[in-house]
Amino acid sequence: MIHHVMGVDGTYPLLLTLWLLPLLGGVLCWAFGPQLKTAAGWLASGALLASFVLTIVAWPTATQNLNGAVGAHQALVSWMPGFDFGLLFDPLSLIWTCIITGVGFLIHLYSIGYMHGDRAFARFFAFLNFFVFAMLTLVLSDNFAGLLIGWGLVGLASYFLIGFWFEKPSAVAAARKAFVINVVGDIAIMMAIFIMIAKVGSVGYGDVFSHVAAFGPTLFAVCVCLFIGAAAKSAQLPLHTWLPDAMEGPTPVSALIHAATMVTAGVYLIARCAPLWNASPDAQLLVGTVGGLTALVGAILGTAQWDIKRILAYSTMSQIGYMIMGVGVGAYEGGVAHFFTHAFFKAQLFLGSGIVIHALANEQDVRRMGGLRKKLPFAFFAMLIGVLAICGLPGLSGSFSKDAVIQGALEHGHPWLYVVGVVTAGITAYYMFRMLFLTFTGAHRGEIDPSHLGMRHPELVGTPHGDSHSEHHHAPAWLMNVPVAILIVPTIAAGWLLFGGGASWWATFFATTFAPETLPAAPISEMATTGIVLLIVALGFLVAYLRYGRMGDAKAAAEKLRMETVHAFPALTNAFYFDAALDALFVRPAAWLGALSAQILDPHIIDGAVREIVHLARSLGNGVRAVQSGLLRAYVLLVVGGAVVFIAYYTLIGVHR
Amino acid sequence: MAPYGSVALYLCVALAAALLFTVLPGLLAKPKPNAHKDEAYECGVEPTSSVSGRFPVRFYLIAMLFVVFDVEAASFYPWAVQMHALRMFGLLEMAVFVVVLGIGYAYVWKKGGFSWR
Amino acid sequence: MIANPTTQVDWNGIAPIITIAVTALVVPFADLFARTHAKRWVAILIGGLGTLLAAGLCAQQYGSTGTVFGGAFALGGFTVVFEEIVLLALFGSLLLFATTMQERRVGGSVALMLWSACGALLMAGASNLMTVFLGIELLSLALYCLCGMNDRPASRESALKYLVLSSTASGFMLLGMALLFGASGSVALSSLTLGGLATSSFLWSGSALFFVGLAFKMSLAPFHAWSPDVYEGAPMPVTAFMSVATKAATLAVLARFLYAALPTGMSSAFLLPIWILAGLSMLVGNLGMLAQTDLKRLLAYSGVAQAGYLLVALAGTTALGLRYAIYYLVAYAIMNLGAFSVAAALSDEKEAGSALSAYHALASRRPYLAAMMSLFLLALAGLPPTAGFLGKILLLSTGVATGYWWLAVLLILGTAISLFAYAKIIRAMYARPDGKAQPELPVAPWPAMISIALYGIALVVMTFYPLTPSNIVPFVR
Repeated sequence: MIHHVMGVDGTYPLLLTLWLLPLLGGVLCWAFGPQLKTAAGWLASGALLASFVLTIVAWPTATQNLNGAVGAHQALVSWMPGFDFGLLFDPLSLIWTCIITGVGFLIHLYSIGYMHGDRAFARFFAFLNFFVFAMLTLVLSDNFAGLLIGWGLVGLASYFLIGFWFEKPSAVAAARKAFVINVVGDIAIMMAIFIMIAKVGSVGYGDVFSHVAAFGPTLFAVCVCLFIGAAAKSAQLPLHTWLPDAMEGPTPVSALIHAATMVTAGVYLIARCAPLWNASPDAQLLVGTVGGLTALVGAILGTAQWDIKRILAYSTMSQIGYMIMGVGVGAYEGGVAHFFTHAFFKAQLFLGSGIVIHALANEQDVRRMGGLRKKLPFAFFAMLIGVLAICGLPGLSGSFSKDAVIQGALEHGHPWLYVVGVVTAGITAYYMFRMLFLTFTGAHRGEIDPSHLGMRHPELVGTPHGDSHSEHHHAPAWLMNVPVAILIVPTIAAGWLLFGGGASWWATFFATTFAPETLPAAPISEMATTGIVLLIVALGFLVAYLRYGRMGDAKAAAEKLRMETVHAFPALTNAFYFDAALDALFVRPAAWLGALSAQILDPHIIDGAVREIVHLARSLGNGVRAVQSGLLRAYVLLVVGGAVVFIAYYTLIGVHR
Repeated sequence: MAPYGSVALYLCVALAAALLFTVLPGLLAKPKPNAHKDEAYECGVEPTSSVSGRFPVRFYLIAMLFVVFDVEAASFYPWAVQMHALRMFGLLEMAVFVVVLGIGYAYVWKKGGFSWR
Repeated sequence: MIANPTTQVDWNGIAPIITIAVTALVVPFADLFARTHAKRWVAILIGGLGTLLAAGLCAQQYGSTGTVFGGAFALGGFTVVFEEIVLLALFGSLLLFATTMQERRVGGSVALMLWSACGALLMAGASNLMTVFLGIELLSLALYCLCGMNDRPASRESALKYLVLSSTASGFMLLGMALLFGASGSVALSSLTLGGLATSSFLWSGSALFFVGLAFKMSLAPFHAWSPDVYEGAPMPVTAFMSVATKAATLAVLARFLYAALPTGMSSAFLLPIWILAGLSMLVGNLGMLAQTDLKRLLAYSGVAQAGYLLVALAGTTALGLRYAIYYLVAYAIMNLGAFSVAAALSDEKEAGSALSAYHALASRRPYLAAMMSLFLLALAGLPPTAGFLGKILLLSTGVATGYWWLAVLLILGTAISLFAYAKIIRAMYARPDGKAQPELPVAPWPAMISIALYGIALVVMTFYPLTPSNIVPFVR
């Protein structure tokens, strides 16, 4: 049995500071929002920058290795037996902390420009900082209970931020949907923790991972529970439906929470629990399959979207599918690497789309874009780099990590997942270039009547369903451009950092975290995989170019788009009916049951299941009250009656023993 | 059950005796009711009112206080019999008992428990 | 010649009880000679000091072992922990006399409450049947009188109801004890542990009646019917005291019986009815709360449910479960005392703070009290960041770990139901004033305010430092 020691015990003031700084920033922004005004944004960004710098400074403590204990472990509170709270700063949490604080800082900076003039400016930054704190709690915790606390808090922060413009009913509905689905995940993780307490008696990572054998057959149940939590947070099938809707939030929120950090928490959870998954091949197969399917389905759905942010949302879902597939099949380094690179290019894509949306007065529909290359050259350049990276053009960051995941699936003996990964890469290239062509090339279609574009809701023009902070102020453009420009660097270079050195230091970096096994060589070499992927990607690009790259003048293009909109596959435009299925499977039966019981209990209340329960409880309560007549003789009767039953039980059972 | 046999016998005899004295007169005697027999007392002072009327609550208070001192006397007696054998321990126990009772007595007295307002 | 049968150890063991008893004598005596307007505070002060002294003496006994007075009273951590909980309830309830109860009745009430506490303390350490009964009767007799210590007709009614019903239950219990005695031939609880008794029908039927009595005192459904009426009628400090002390003392007796007095090899069917009562109590108590308009009645039903929760920890009779039960009991004591303290702070002898309508829009008039009341209600509901939350988690984990899944499910279900009742009060407190003229609120004295703050702090701190005593093995063998 491997004994897992998590981190070198000690006192790490740097670690505590970098953890708490965002909380401090958030509290200050929240408390002094009215006084701080625009300074709130700078304060929040400053807190994150400091946190990021401290992360880099503290890097060596995360990689220190003392007798097999890797990283830094800071004990915090000893609660009760089995519940020792502390921080664990090892290579895995280090990578996440880097992204959360680093990319988070850039997105904060961007938000200062993007949210300029919003009347709840300071509140926005308070929430953002609070989110970062919650996310750090999640990845720095040294036990499952702390992880669950962080898990719940990021869900809460996400709820606040999706519904940030709470005047919009759609935003509120989206926030609620995300929250409800995430709570399903929270409960699943709680179940897993219960089993851990029952079987191991502790929730500490070290304790649990050292006693994997103690789980016996329940190990699979633990893994499934954890995976349900991961799937809800990371938008895996079939719990992904909240993610596209979550795009109702401000674009920086989409970039920070729903692309770069929070939605990858599931990847973190599975990578963190590598010892559990390594011991349960069934669970690995389940997770790898769901991840692969999610990658494929997300990519297919991405091909049918018109809203630029929803395209990116489905691409996020698809890319996380890759990550989950990677960590699921056991290619942990690949999955984590894809998280690392994806954070950069996806944040860049989102922020680039934000520049477009901002410049077009909140237009989000790509059918009403086109030809923006001239008007927004910087945004075009940034998004082009992002698209190339996500497609996996060799040399850019995405190719290294994506190929590692795809190759990993083959190495770990899942050839059909390999095929899924390769096919998805082609579809990815198609829909990303489709977005790029529709947005930036051809003729501008902004002046064309929406009905000529086949849009179903022409009345929506002018009241876009996306970011709608009504007073439209233009912040200095450089505030939004600088973070995007900075992000271009890692989008290109991150892969070289990780895998540039051939036999990469990346694998050795995680050697103790994942305990990788030596695998037989795959039938297809890494080089060949890169070639195959490139070929497929080129095919995807070609199809996209043929369909959207040369659509002629605005009128011809509009007609083409109208035809496409009208003749679209219903299955695709309805996102494979997942929402409808969830609705039919859970929401409607619940409503039906509610209506049924309402007819029995009280025909006047048909307001859904929750109120039914209250009503049921009330009437049962009245039943209790009916016994409570206040008459002494009734009470005596109750006591004597109870006693008779008691005596009967004991004498009968006692005699028959 | 053997050691409890005599107890059971005792219970039966007690029950039988009680029943005998309550039921037998009714069976044997020939009822000859008259007005005097239905009064509260067949002898002594003439009753001035119905007996089923209300009593002032003071009666109950006095009765309860009486019970307290009744119990006191009941526990004094065995102690007095065994006083020499119990020695200092017994004396102290009884002193504690009397002090507790005394304080209660003083409290009731001062609060006006004995005055018939 | 009978030599002095007692030693220093014996007297040390019951020193806390003696202290409380002496205090109970001093209080009425002092009450007689105190000036009229000082009577209230003299009684509270003397009672409080006596309680503190007893608590100190009690704490010294923590490490001791064995029994005193010929096996009648057990020493050790188990006894001490329960004694301290009773003393906490006593102290907290004494403070409530600061605002409620007429001045002229305070002295007598404090004395009676001290006597009642004596009974509870005896129960905490009782290790033979006679001590158990002595403790229960001392506790109850004083409580009957205390319940009637108010001029409201409901108060008199509650005293009478309690007397009649409790006597009925005591009768069952006494018969049960007689049967238990018949089974083992000894009053000592430890003598029941002989393996051969596991199938004794005397023991089974005796235990049945014994359990009925205990279930009544703990107000477990269906033996709970007295508690809403009695709680509602009794003066507020008395309700606070009986809701905590009676439960704590009875739980001590029950736990000692379950852990230390059962024959080896007893079948699990023997204890099943108790767990069924626990489950039933969780349902009935929480459902009963929903329709209440009186805080004391509501807390009575809450108490029924909480008694059920407590038993979940004992299911499976593990040592860890007992520690968790004690943790939850302490938390329950504090949150209950806290809620009653807030109610008392809003009351004078008319006890206006007992009606739930008094809490409407309280936040705008007494924000501190409203906030603290919310905290206590959240704790009762079992929400973070209070000890009620952690306590419930511990109970749940015990229930799950020992295989009593259905109790854990009922606990969750009950908690969900109870949320409606507690949330209703909190929502009412934070509602806007409806413009109707509200009666003038009394100004509570500072000790009451401080005690409320301390309860709140304790509830939160306990969440993060869940100390449970390790020295609580209740063995009397």
